[in-house]
Amino acid sequence: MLTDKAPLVLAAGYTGMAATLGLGLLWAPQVSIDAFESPSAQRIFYWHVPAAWAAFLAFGFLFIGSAMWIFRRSEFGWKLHIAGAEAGLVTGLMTVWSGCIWGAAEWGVPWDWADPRLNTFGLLTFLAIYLVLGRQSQPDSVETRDTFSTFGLYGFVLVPVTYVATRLWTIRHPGPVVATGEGSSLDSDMGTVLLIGAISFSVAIVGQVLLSLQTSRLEQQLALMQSKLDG
Amino acid sequence: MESITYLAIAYLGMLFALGLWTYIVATRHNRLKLQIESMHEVMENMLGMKDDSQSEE
Repeated sequence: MLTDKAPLVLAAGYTGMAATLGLGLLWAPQVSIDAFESPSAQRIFYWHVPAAWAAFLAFGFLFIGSAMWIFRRSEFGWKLHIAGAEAGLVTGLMTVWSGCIWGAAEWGVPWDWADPRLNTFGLLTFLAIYLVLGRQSQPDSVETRDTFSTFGLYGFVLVPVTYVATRLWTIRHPGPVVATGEGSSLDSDMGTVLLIGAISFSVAIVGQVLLSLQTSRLEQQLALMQSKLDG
Repeated sequence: MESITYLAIAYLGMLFALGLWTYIVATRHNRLKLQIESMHEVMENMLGMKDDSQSEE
């Protein structure tokens, strides 16, 4: 079964993330001292950007899972919803945390309430917190699943809004440096580290989702055995 | 604060979040496996029942 490979996939992702960290801190070139208030802190972005990318991926899983549950009543869809919400929570928190620290270093303030990208991404992370904590505090019923899946479905609207936010309204968050459509302004070595980071985080997220699916399967198996013992 | 201090705080926070998350997921996974194993023993040895998911039929 594919989910049995989860620890292996996760380990591969984490190894790549460690390599990204090492390359980002030790190998990637330093940015111009004149261009940044806090040049060393810029190296935060070697994990910040891939974590944000991985969060979008996780919210994609959440969206697909929610849709599968709402429209097909698919058990796999509900498990994917859980896995996507959990993966979105950890990557969302990593992104928000690192972004706040970089903001404090570069802008002098950790958050800007007028910046659309910061706030839409913050809302996405809050959505993930709500879905994960809410599910754990509610009984597993059809009504509960419908409610959380509806939030997962409509909350996904924030993903494309967040993605285009810096293209439409550049207020404080830096604009895109890759996939700009006009050729990247990014140094090629920096781009390489960023690419390794994006691939590694994606692999780790797939590993997390597979592990979460496997855990959900074990939970169901345990519930089935308990009902047999009780009944 | 020094620029390098911000860098360290950011990465330490992210590593902590990732480590904590991995620990929680791995612990939950292992706990469930152990519970299922012990449940199997209860079903097979004490009640004489056999779980369908383990049946070779």
